[in-house]
Amino acid sequence: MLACAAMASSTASAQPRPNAPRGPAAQARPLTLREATQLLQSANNDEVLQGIDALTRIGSADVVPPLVELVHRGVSDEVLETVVTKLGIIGQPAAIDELSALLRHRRGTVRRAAVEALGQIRDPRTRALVESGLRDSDATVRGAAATALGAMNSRASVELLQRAFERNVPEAAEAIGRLGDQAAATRLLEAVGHAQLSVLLPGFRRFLDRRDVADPVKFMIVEQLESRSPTMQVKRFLQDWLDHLPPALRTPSRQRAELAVRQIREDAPATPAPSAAPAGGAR
Amino acid sequence: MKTRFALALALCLVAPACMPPIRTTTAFSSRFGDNDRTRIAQVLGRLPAESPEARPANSLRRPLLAAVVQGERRAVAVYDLSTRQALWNVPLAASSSPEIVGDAVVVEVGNATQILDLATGATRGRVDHIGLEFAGAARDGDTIVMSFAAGLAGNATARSGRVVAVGASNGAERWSHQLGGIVGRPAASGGLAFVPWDRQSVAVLDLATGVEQARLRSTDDVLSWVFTGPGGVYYGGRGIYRMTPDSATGTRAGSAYLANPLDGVPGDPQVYPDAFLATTGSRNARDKIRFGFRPVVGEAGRVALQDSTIYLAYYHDLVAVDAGTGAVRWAQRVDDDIEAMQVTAAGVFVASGDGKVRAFEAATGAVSVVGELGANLGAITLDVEGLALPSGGTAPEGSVREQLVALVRDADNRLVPFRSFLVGVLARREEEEVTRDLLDLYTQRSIPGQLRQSVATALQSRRTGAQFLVAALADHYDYLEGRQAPPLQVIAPTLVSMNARDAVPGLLSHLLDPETPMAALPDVINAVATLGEASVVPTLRNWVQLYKGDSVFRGENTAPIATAVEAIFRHGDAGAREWLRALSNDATANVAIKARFDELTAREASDATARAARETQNQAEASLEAELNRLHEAQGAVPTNLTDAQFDEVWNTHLDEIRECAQGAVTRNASLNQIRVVITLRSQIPSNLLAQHAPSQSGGENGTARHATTPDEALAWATATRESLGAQRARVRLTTYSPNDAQLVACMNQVLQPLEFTAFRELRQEFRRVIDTRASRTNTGNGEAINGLGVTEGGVELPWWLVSAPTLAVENPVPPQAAVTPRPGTPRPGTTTPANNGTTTPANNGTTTPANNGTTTRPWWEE
Repeated sequence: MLACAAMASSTASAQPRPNAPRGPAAQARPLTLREATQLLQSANNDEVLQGIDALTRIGSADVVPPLVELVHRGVSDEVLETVVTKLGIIGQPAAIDELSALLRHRRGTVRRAAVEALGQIRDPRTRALVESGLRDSDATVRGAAATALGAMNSRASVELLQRAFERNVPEAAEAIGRLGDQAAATRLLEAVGHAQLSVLLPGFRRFLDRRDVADPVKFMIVEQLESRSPTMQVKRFLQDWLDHLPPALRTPSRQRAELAVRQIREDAPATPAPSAAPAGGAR
Repeated sequence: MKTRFALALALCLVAPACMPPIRTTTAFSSRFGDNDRTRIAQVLGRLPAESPEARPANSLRRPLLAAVVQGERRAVAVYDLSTRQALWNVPLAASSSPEIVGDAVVVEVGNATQILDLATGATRGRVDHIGLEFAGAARDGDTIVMSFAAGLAGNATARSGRVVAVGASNGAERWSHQLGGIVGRPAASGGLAFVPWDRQSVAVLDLATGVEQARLRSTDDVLSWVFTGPGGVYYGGRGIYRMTPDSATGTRAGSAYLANPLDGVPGDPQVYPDAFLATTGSRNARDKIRFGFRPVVGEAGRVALQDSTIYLAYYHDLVAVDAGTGAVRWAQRVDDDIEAMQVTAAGVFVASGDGKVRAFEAATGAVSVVGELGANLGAITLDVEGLALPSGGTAPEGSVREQLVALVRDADNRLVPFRSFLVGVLARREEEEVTRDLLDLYTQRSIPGQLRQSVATALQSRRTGAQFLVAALADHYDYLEGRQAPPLQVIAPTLVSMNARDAVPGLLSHLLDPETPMAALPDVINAVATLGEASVVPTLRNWVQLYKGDSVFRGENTAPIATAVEAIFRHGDAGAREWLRALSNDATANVAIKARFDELTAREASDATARAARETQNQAEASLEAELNRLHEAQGAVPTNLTDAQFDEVWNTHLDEIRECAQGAVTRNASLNQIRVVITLRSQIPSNLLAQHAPSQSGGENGTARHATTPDEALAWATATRESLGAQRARVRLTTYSPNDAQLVACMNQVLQPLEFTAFRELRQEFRRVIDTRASRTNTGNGEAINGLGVTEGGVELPWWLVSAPTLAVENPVPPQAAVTPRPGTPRPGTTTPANNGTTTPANNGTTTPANNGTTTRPWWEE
């Protein structure tokens, strides 16, 4: 067994092993790659987690192979999910192959973690892999994939996200709001009245908050929201957006939102009436 | 008083009124002889020759359709299909199918059967049922014969029937028979009525008198119907018989018979409508499921069918089947249920409840509409022989295979059993594409569960078309595309059955696909391992390793990982075994891994033990067989009796001693010419030494239970028996000498009594030897030949006893050469030879003492 230093930020590392050297010097010294890798061989789950944390801190491409090897060895659910998460945090492209393989793990939680991890790695290969998550049978994996694509600023995925949204992937709405153009906003607006507003509004908020979206597009969104769903839910949504705008910002879209807030009566329906034809966004 | 009684008795004897009437039974008598070839031949002689002209059977010679008009105002109507107009429509609450018989229509109305005029519909007469049900009618000449029975609908416990002949013009009864069995719809031709009776016989009655002329009785079949058609009279149940003189055999094999090539049709329809089931006056499911055919006389009077085709109507489907092979020729669907069908020389005509009459071309199934009567019809009867097919029919699309698939895809859920049946028909076809069709059907979402199961079963029976299954493996679940995983639980075992090794990559991709259902994984793994063998072991190892500590295969989901362990165990090398062993000892690994590994190891050890035991047993059996062969060889070598050569082998070794005894005798008696010696040998071979096999039971010593003799015990028996047999000797039992010189006897006995010879099977055998002592003297010069002189190596003649000759001059007749051991009392060839006194006595009388008697522990076979 090797001597290891305490890891200040890790729960596991905060509890040095009984036979580990103690003292300020030992606690202050971070584990080397070799030491951390050796910890992965331990039969003690805590020590393995400690090793994973240490490797994450190191964060170089060198830490990927031992973590991959650990996965291949067959580990508990907790260790596996931790490794996958950490591979995302490490963000090394060297982990892409392994994460790609883990997209086919039989447990949805592992696949979701793999999607999230891939979303954090800046590499052109990851987009297709994350997009494949939209095809997963597990809704959480699909949701994670949609969110990750938004976070990755993967504008090439908008079309796929729109299809996913129409196939009941609600997280796709927000991703579309982050990535889409005017056409995407228009298409999303067409879902108002069919999909749940609670699903759609985060997407519209993303559109409204974006600087790269032209004000006429935002104006259109506000106007269409009011006309298509003059409800208290939309009124509160617009009010919240207005509240977050800089006071000095006077744009047509802001004025239109203020108008809409004034025009939607207090006794308006809280939410839209249930649609006869269910559409995207409702799980 | 006495006088009066005698008078009364005498009157009674002459007056019929005093005696019970003598009832003469002219038909359906239990005393009537059935299957009488002469009578049947006479019946056949009365049948008319077949008319070469194809035309309707009715007297109007027009194609007609008779039916019950359904609705509020029930009526009976007859339509002329050549004009598509009704001949007439008579309001009647008919409760049977109207039957067209010559110039009349017979139909049941309430409790009577009415005879209507074919041309006008006017009632000519009626026949009361008298509590029975109307089974059907037939006509020949001016007589209509009708059958009635109790219990046709299954609602009566008493069985009774009635056959009535009436005049066709007025319904007046001509004769009738009442009987204690059920009768079915009759047929009529040649002045004869053919009445099916009790589902076993067909009574043939003279239509004019009602007297039974002949009777057919099946001894190995059920006879449910009879009809007259082209070429004669046909009867049967599930198959079709043609009445010929051979019908007198009463057997299926002996008669002119054609089996229905289609078996297992849902609803179990007979090949011809059951004559014992009353028809109804409305549409019913029974009429919608039926076969149709037109019989013709085949080669040598056999049953053949028009176009060699039999047709199956099943609701709105019509399938044409080769009558010989059962192969489907075409399958066609029409829009309406088929309520009636008639096969004619031109094709197949069917009628539906909306009054639409269609015709199908026999060869292609091309369908065309003959006419639309625009009426709501039920209980339809067609009489359309001779009606020509309309031109320009629509043939079913695609190949026969595609036609069948189209029928299976029919969304009509009434037809699910029939669709399942067609799946079986489809699966028996040889085209490889059938496999793809079945796979497509299986994946059709709207398919009912029962049908899906049939498709799965059919798919697994396929042995060709593996490439379609392999191609299907390329499909994977896709949420966005709405695509499901292929049915791996069906595909994987089928691929194994097909030994489709090129499916391994596709199967592996599904093994690694999380969308593969948990329940399908064992099948996939089994298929991967069976088809890929050792090549897939590394992949399986990686897979097991990845999931060994994972929760996904715990609890109720251990089957896949256990199956993978078994596959690695079965197909992996020693390294893989060692890896599995280590994994099974890994505390963090899934317990199912250890459990399956331990189970497999134990099973293998058990198998190895069993194999070793089998091997040992095989060796023991081989040793036993070899030892038995040696024993049998030794037993076979035991002669029935000894040859002279065998005797002389021993005799000659003691010639010098014998010579000395002979010399002594000559010395004492110089005139002695010869010494005769008779030696009786006794051979006492114990009978058990000649047994071919060990006793079947052993044990029993010291209270131990007897048991079946083991190979080891049998081996010991065979060895000991062979050795004992080898130790057997024949010994000199008796010696007699002539002259009976005491000194000679003593001398010779001393030499001969201890001799031992090869044992033989007979009990005794005598050998005679004559010692010619004259050979001791030289020629006296009076012409006596010098006989028996000994000659030294130097050519000097010496008295014979002075020469150490190899043999004595003996008179030794050839013993009989018996090929088989003679039984006591059986004269042996050769025993009449004067010199041969070597008579023997069988030795194996079973009273002999075992050779190794006296040992402290007796062998088991002597216990």
